Amino acid sequence: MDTLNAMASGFEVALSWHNLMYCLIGVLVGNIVGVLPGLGPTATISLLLPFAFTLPPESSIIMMAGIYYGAMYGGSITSTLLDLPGEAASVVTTFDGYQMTKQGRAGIALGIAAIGSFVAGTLAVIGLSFLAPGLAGFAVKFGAPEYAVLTSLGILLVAYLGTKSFLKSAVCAAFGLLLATIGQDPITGSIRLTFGSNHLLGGIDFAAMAMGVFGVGEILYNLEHLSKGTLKQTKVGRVWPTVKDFAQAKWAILRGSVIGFFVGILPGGGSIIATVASYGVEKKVSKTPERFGKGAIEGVAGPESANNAAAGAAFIPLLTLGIPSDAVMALIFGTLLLNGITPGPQLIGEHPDLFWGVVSSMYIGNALLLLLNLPFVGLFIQLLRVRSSILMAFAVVLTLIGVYSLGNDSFNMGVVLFFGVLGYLMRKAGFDPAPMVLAFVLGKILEGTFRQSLIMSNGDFAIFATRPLSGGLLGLTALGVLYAVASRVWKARRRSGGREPKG
Amino acid sequence: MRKKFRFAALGTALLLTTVLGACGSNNNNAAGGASSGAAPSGSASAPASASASPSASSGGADYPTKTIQIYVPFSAGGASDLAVRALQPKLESVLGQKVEVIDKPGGAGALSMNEVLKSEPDGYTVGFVTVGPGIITPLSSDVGYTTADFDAVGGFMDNPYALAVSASSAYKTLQELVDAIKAKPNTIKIGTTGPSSPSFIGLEQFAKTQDLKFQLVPFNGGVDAVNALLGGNVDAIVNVDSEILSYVKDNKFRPLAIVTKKRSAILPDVQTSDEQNLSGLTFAPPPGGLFVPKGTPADVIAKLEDALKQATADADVKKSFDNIFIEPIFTPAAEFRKAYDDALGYYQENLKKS
Amino acid sequence: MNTPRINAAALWPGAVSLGIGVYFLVLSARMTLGSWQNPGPGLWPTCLSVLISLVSLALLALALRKKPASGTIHQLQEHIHPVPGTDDAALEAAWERTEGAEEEGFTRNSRYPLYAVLGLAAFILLFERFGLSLPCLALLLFWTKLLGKERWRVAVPVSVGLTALIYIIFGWGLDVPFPDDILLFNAR
Repeated sequence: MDTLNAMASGFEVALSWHNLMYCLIGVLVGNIVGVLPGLGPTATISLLLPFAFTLPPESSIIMMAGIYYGAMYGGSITSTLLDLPGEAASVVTTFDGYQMTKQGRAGIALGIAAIGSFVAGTLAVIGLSFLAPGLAGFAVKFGAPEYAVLTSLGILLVAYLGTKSFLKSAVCAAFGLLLATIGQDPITGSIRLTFGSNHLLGGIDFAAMAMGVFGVGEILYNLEHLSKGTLKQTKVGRVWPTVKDFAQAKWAILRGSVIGFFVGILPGGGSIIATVASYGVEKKVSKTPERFGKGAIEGVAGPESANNAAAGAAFIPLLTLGIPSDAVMALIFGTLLLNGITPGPQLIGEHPDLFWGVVSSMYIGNALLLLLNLPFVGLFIQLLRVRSSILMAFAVVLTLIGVYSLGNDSFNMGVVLFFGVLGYLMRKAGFDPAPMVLAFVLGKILEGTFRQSLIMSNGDFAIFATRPLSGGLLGLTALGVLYAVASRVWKARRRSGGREPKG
Repeated sequence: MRKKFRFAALGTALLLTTVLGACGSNNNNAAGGASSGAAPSGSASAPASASASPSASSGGADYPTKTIQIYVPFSAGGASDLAVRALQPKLESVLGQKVEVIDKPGGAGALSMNEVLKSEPDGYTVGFVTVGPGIITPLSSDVGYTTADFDAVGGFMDNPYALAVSASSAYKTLQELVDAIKAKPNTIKIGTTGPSSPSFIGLEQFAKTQDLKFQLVPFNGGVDAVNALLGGNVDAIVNVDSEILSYVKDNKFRPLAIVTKKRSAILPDVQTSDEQNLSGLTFAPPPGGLFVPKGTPADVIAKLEDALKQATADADVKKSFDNIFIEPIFTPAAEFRKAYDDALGYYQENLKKS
Repeated sequence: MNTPRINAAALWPGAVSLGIGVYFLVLSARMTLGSWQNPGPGLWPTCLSVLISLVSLALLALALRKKPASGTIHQLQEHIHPVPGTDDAALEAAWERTEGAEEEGFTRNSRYPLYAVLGLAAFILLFERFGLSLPCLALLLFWTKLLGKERWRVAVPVSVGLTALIYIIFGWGLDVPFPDDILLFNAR
């Protein structure tokens, strides 16, 4: 019952009027920057750091946390409306979200995403309140071999789940992995494939790449087809999800939350794998998997819930072990340090007000976000009523300036343009850009951890199978591949023997 | 406070503009006047102790007359960024001008360094430098500069490195670890903060001098190395003392040695490897500090150096540095220069061989 | 839809990705490969390039004997609940994009994306030299007026308003250091 007592005092902290205000500011700003393409939570928080340093630690962390999970809500909005994922964790949302928009079901997609995010966010905070210390121990057990196996599982899933042909997805995934090798070799430190440019020494910036391939690529593609009159104006359609929509999505939300929470604890790449896994699970569980990629509501609800649950779970390694799992967590880590607080195992004991205050504020923040977002859904989809000539121009400029602000580097704008052209060509060639982008993110982890594992084992590949955790994951992967191949063969046999194609 | 107002106003403005479409231009004019970006020189909020005439004049006599920019080659929130920002208020009050901290990560530090290099050598563009961007990056690829293209202002950030094992580990001293490595070659795994990082090169050097064979695992930064030691995936790590401190306090890690020349201020009881009579492990990366492009007038550099010296002695700055576990030790320009020249020789030799 | 002849539209994607694979193979093979037990920097990129090239060959082979699309729009409609507001044209478009004709060739309309790309490239160059305000205004005018074919009385106020909005968000609100601006006379 200690937890409940501690939480009560945490709510006292979180409910003080100024902390409530910072929580509100945080989620509001987060929500807005999540919507603005190019400007993710990382960029925003780092730009606001000087301001955050002037606040008491609870308030600044409450606000930063608000920006973080608020941006996760906001990210679904551009992914759904404009095919513009703000960060890796919302790439999967574009698969079905953007298709729903094109069918005039944008409101339903956004509504379900908001509800799913709320449920998942709240479940994750409950998990954070009661399970945090135990789970953190599990997260560090994940060493290099486990990561190598987990990320390869993720990449296989990505290629398999692509909405186009498997071969094309595989080419894209491989190309994404190849792009991830640009920059410094993770083991020897030598410089690879930079084409002589200093700007590429640190590799390609993910945000610039994703903005280019998805946002600018889609806009260029639409420009060509706009004049044909096929995609002139997207229909706005109904604003709210119905009870029936909700019933269809509820299990996806719950499954997504659970997957997101547990996979999201893993530092580095956890939230991406969680969204991909959730999408995969929904597609597998569904009685009508062929709807996926064409506007299936579960395809939005599952991954959106997963990435919000993962956003909550990401606090576990930080607050209990002092391990920041991504760039935003690293910023929060730095802020705590500057305030004389060391994030780490002693944090809960030494600064209970801070820990429980932040956790309690997350319950409040999630509720605020739901209240903010449901009415805003109606507003946001009005964006689609703006003439596409103006909306496109604005989206393009916002993207370029947003990406510039990431490192104050105009080279990144060139990267956006390059990948915009690539994204356009991929669309014309029938390639799905999502596997490339997701494999790019996971590839950075995969190569490094794979080679670290080999160093650890003196070059013995058995290390992936003999460690219990990675061995288990490897077995799971093998089973998954076997199942996929078997079901494909079976389906092909049924199709050739059974019904003939119509039309 | 101004920033706070601005921030709240931004939220409201964004909200309004979302609601009202693109009708935010009234707002713009009213507030635009307070914007620091467009503010004329000299009118900034900095204390006007040495407010100079607005007539543009180069040279050192009336320096500084406008905002000074410090480029940091790392992302916001990292130790370097935090340290420079901790100095910023005191630098402003000493110099009597606004000091802007600009983070320009990327290109393994080369982007920020080149930004400083191509700026006017007038003391208004200053670069923060550490061993990575300053020495290792230009040695491992052709980035268009070396430390010889810069003039030194002074150092202020000296990080001792420590070698630590898990608290449950069998090795109680550095000697025991070395003995174990000798008894079973190629089985002990030691994590470092990255390929061609000071810790990696230092350990390679150690292996050579002591004729040891162990596995060197380069991680992507200190945090990953800590993570690996927590999970028992490596036997030991070498990392900056501040990044292992809290785990030492919590009895999760045991520091076996400080592997830089001097003892650490935050782990004062831990002996250096030299004190434990194990030579070859000590590596001394030069301190982090400030550089300006070559050709900056000497009296301008002297003013900057003096400001840095005063800032590092300031009580508030000390307190901020304490919080991020860094000792603000001022290194004068000449000594700072020499530290980089020495380091260049050391890394030239060791990076070429690997 | 199926022409018995080999059409270039179906072939170019595989050909381009084969080209990319071979190009990176050449680049990667120049680096140290190392061994399987102790991989060098070049091994992983080389493997990936080979993989890309092989799959591209398979794609080319498939394109040469293209089989008909495996379903129809009506199958899709059966699965999506008849929602009011869902129109067939959009559904058709979604279907086309996901299942139907996969590759398309270039047409006269492909010039619009080309203009757009050139406009964006010009914007980036101008932005580096002249800062945010003027290039941003010019780019927005270019998109709304020339690409979007809006009237002047729509294009001008919209471009000015959006430029101001972007300046408020990034320059004023977030303190992003833009290159020196020729319109706003930055004191740097």
